[in-house]
Amino acid sequence: MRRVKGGLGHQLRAILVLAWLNGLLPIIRSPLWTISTLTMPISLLVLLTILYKNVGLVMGIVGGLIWSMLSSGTALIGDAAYYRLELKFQQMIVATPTNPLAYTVGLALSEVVFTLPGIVLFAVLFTVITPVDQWEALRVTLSLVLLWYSVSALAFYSSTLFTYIRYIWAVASLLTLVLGILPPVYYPAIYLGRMWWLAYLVPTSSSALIIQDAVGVVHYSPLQVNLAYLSEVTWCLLGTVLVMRVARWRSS
Amino acid sequence: MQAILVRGLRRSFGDKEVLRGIDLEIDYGKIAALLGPNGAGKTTLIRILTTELMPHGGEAYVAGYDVVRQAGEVRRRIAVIPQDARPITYMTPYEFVYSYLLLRGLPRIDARRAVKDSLEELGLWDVRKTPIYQLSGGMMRRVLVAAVLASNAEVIFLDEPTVGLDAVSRRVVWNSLRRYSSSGATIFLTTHYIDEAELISDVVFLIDNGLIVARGSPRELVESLPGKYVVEYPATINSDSCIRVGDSCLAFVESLNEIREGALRVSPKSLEHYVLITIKSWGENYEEG
Repeated sequence: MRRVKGGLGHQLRAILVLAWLNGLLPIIRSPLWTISTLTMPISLLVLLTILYKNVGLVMGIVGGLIWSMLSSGTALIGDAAYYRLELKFQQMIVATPTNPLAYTVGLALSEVVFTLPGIVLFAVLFTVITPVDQWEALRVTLSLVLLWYSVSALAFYSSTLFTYIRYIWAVASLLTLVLGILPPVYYPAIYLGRMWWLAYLVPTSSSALIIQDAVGVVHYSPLQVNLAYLSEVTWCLLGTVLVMRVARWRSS
Repeated sequence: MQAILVRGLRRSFGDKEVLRGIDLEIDYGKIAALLGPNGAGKTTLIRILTTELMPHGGEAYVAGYDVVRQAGEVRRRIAVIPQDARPITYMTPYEFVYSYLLLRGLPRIDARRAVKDSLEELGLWDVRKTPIYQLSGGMMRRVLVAAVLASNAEVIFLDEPTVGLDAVSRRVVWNSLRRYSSSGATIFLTTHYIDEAELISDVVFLIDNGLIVARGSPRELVESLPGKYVVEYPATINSDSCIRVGDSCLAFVESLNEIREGALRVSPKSLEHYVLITIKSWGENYEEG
């Protein structure tokens, strides 16, 4: 009998395998999926540009980048729940050396593959429309990576709360509203007045705050920006704890 | 050291105690079948032994490791097909089995060789590049079996592995399981097909209402029944010498001359008869077990 290892090398490989099987393979076989993820952020970009000209265009691009990351998370909820509840694939993976964090990150990476055309499109628009230096580009990238990680971890945790697959569909739509439309993602946090700190309560608007400041469309104080980073890191840590300790990987 | 050792295992869902103190042990190189009615606790036991579900009491060891405290060690040594599992259908059989083996931690060269061997053994090599959604239900099930048998795990758990398979496919799977166990691995399976348990198992466990109520080789269990034949009468028959099971009454006789009027069918005694009269809760449970 062959005894397998389960160290860091295996976990990294498991991430790539999951990204391949849940991201690359289906997208190669049905490229239409990639376009479907683009429809909403492009619609909002067009709408904002018509209504608010240049400022609307920039806000639409910033929002589009964040939306792409958010849609990775909402797609992950559906896929993870489908694999657990319908295919029982997660149960097969539980009985392997692959750990829940590698499983989550692998699925999250696969969802990024789906949204890659959107990310590329908005990144190109971002580069063309909003000239930023390397430092600001790094800030934007870091913020988006933190957002991707935190949303994915929270999405995987959320997926394990459900016992029936059809309930997931409604939740994914609700999350899009709660994380993508209501918080200051497509508008400045200062529109919230004295309640501007509400932007820190969800990772999407924390990320938006950082990117809006980086491109100069809205100016926040250094304290506000640093608190946004703190908020994003906190969401990442919370997501990791939820995935490793609370999510239904192993039922209690 | 046993491949599986369970002592006093308990598990509840809400107020319902699904496992009420399971004891069993299974040696290496054996095929063990767990038989019981719906809701008896079969799937719950498998989920605990495969480290997916936590027990509420007792002890369970798989490949010598505690399923609670040493779950990581257990997971390196087992493979499982859960109840109602299906492969990912946009993948091909080759892709599914190969990726499963990589997720189990096999080196790529070993994985490629194991995929080929396993798909050939289960009659799937010719459709290895066909999307799984184009395959029949039986072939889909065989893809799962191919994946776990290619894993080369020490202990394999199969929760109703042959549901939906036709007669030929079932035999293909049985032959593969027998070949796999002959290499020294243990296979623990649940099934509703009593003939399957009788044909391929070295040892059978009967579970009823969360307890193991009988155990032994199929032959031992059948031989513990009286007589040579089983005569099935309608339950309405007035007789003290037959045992009521659902709508029927089973009488065990030594000779065909003992058959009375009104018999519905006569057959040599079998494991099915043993199971029918040993299980007391047929049709009572409807919740997860």
